[in-house]
Amino acid sequence: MAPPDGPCPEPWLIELFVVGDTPRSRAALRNLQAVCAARLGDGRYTIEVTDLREHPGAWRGNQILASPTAIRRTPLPERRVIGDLSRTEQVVAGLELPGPSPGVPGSPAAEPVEEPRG
Amino acid sequence: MTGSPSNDVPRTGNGLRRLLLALPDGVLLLDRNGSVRFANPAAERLFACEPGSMVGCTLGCPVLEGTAEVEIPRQGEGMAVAEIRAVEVEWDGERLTLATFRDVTGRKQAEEKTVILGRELLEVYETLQNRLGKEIHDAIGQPLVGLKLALQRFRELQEQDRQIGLGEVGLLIDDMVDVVRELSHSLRPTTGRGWSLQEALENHFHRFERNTGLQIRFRARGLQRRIPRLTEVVGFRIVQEALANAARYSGARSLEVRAAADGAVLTLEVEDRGAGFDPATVSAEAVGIRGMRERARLAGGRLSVESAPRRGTRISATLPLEPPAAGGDPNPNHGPG
Repeated sequence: MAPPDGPCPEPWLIELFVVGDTPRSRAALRNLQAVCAARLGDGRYTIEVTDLREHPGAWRGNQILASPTAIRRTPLPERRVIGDLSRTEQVVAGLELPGPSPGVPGSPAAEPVEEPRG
Repeated sequence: MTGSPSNDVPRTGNGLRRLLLALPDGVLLLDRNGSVRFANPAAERLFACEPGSMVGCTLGCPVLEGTAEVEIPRQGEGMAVAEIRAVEVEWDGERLTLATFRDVTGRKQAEEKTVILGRELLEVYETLQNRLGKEIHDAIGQPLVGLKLALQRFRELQEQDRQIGLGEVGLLIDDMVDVVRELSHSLRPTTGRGWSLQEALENHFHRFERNTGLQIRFRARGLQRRIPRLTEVVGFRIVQEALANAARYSGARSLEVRAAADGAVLTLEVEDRGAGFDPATVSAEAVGIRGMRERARLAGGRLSVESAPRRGTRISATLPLEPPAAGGDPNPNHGPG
């Protein structure tokens, strides 16, 4: 499916599944927020975070194989990405996000945050 | 799920197929939607999936810079941590992602243990620094103030009284030399002196009896053998601390110390028949037990405390006479506190 052209009437809902409040989880969330802000613009998207440690049933319920996983719930069809979400263009391609947001010229995503290596 | 699922690698030849099947790292071939086209046995083990059952499942497209770590649930076995790498490959004219998963769970657990151990070491070090600072203040700082005052008085003395003043200053300096010697002894009980653990303990008992008036009955067995330096120093410190506690709290007139090097362990026991305490109600920190327990644990051993009000106290430490195996938990039975 090609990325949708023009404004999408349906709000974007992206669910991020992480395990605990760890540097890995926080880095994935910051990277996802930065890409969504740049590509979708304020008010056009919602990111819901599910902590799999607090909701262990969500692994099976959502057929999550690894964490962090981000799922584009709407608009359909669903799309999934896994990893630290540090590569903007891969997040855009994987979740099939639209082109640069009109309100943000060039839509430069914030510097990606890599998980600190232990 | 896309395409016609088949757990096979097209046009790879038998060599590459065997290689993929034998690799210890998990290998997944993913389509542009992140659905699994191929999973090798290592990947199926890592994801706790039945052979062939991963094909068609949607993992998601890997998004990472170089490598990234992901958590993978394992039924009844906690969480695995895997390091992923991903590259784009062309397969039968289609762009696919080849993702490799290396199980780094053991390494991550070892790293976490190292961090915890580091924190504990830092705590012990800080405690030691604080104690040293207090010792220096009490043992050297106060006599120095006395010396300064004596010298001030000396300046005001008439010529005929100065001999007496000098004598007083000399006595103060003698006291300080003793204090510094005592401090040095307590800081390096065995190292730098070439003493065995038994000699170091006997020397300490002699000073302890002189300073406290308490009597020590010492029974030693097998201490002539070679004892690792860490075990020796930790053992000495535990006995030293246990004796200090007994002098401070027990009210006993005599103490018994037993030390035995048998087989692979050094066992040390300090027992008094004094006031005792209820371990359930007395804070371990308040009676210095925590520090002893931490020392024992860091040396790969363990420490136990038996006590009851009016029934005395027995502190027992068991320390290894061989270094613990690298990476293993030296004391799996150690509980909190």
